[in-house]
Amino acid sequence: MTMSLIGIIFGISFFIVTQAQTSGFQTYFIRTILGTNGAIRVSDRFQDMKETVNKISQDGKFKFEFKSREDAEYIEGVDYPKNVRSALSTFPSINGISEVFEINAVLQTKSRNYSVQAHGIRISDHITVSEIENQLRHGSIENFLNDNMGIFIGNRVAERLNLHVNDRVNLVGQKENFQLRVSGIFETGVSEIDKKRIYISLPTARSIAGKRFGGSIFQLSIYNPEDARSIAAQIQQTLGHRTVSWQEREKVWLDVFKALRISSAITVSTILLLSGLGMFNVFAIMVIEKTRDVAILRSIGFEPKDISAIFLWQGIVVLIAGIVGGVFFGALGTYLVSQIPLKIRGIFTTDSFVVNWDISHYISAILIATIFVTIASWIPAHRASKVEPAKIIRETI
Amino acid sequence: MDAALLQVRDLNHSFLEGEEKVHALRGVSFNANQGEITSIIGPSGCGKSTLLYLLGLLDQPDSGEIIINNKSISKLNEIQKNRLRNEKIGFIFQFHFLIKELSARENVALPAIKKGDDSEDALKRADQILNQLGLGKKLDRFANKLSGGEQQRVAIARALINSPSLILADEPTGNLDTANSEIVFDLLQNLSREQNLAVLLVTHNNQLAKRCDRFISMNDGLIVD
Repeated sequence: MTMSLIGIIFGISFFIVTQAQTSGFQTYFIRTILGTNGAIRVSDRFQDMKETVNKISQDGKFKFEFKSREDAEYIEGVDYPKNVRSALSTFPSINGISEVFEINAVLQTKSRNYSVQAHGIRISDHITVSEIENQLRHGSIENFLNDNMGIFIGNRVAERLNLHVNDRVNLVGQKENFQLRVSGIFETGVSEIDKKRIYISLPTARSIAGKRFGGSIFQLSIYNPEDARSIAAQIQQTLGHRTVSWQEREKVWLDVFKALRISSAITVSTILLLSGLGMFNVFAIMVIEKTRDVAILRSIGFEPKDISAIFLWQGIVVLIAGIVGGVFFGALGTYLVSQIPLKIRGIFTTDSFVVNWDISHYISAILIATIFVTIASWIPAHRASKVEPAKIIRETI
Repeated sequence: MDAALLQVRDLNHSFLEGEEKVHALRGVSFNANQGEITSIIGPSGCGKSTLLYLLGLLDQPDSGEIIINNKSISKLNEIQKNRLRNEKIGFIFQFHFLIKELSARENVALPAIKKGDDSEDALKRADQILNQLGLGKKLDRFANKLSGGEQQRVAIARALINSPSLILADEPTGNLDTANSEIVFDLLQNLSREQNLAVLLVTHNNQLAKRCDRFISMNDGLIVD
């Protein structure tokens, strides 16, 4: 019984720790991507020639449904940004809108040239749809605001070109080139962004590209990021521009995290299952050992349900002890794991294990343990209640 | 005093032993009265214990009728049978059948607690009965720390705690020495008289059987005398 109890404690705590850890990384990843590329991006004008988007009505509520984007035709970028912005501002679920003009350019220093992806932004808008303020490792937003020729560069770009705040750098585009001053160095944690992206003012970007109008995209933040999918569909239907939610954009990574969580949940549930099986064996042997006592109890008037209750009660005691111990060690383990140094760079940046303190992990672990322990104790308990007292007493004598 | 508390009518019972069907009882009929000890004697395997288990509602007869307090038990459902066994019937076995993890007083109190009595009250009553049976100093001893005679007295106390009207004793002295056998028998005799109990005593001991108010002799599932 002690081994079963230890197994249940171990199973519950391990379940909590693994879920806290995998969902911690997932939550951190989502926060990173929301803080970098926003919840929704509105880009190319969309020609819905083949009814790829449908508005469907269910119980009086409207929903938007994508059939496929494969056959749709697009016109690159947002043609009338002012109109689109004005339309977007009528959506009550949107809390930040930033127009972004993306171009490819080359950063030139004395020693080397480096290809970058320049994002032309209005910084006052962009801080409402991103975490750029928090991502700045050096410099400040004010530097950028007060300098039309200011530039934010990713920390990997800065490392490669050996650039520091206030350094001068040339940005060479298709039509123009400008000498800019480094206003800040940011780190998103996403290595593809940190080694390629730079931010410059929107007019500067347009000048470098030689494109005064159109071609921009919109990055949006919304009050509830979980609603991004339906809001994106609604925007696409309403504005006729390709609109992608963060869930759709990062589907591959989100699927990886989901697979990891499911995989670890299955692994840990197996531990709980094995503990349940151990407990089942213990109870089954106990029923055999206690058959005589069961017969005695039946002979003095105990009913089959009373006999079941005795064994179920023991299961409940083990379960409660397992839950208390499992939750305690789960919480302790989660805390200890969060203190383990772990340097991750790539899809996000962290220097220690990221954990997510979520009550649903505890509830799930308790629920799974309860199901296994209930089954493990109910079957032997039911068997005990079926003992025929006369037969047992006759055999004992 | 002489009212037939227990009436047994044409009781038949068989069971399978391996693949062989054993006819344990063949048309057994008799009465047992309150305030009397009725002994049942006979060779091993003649059906004495089987009869007791049927009367104790631990088993179902193939046919026949058992009437306790003018009520046929065949008309009772399982819950009613359990209640009747708990409140009106006291069982005493040859090997006392106490629960070794419990103390003497806890063993005795069990049927009362099952009946729904308050645990404290049940334990107090258990103490009183054990005192009357001379076990007042061993109330908290675990059952397996008592001598054979003491264990049997605890079993008797357990059978008495719910003030039953019928005591079924299956060779209660079979595992005791002569002195302890005497003590237990005297106890049962006094209880049957003082508390107006009907006692059915299965025994191999002819001496004891002769001292009972009535005796039934069985052979091969039949009452022969």
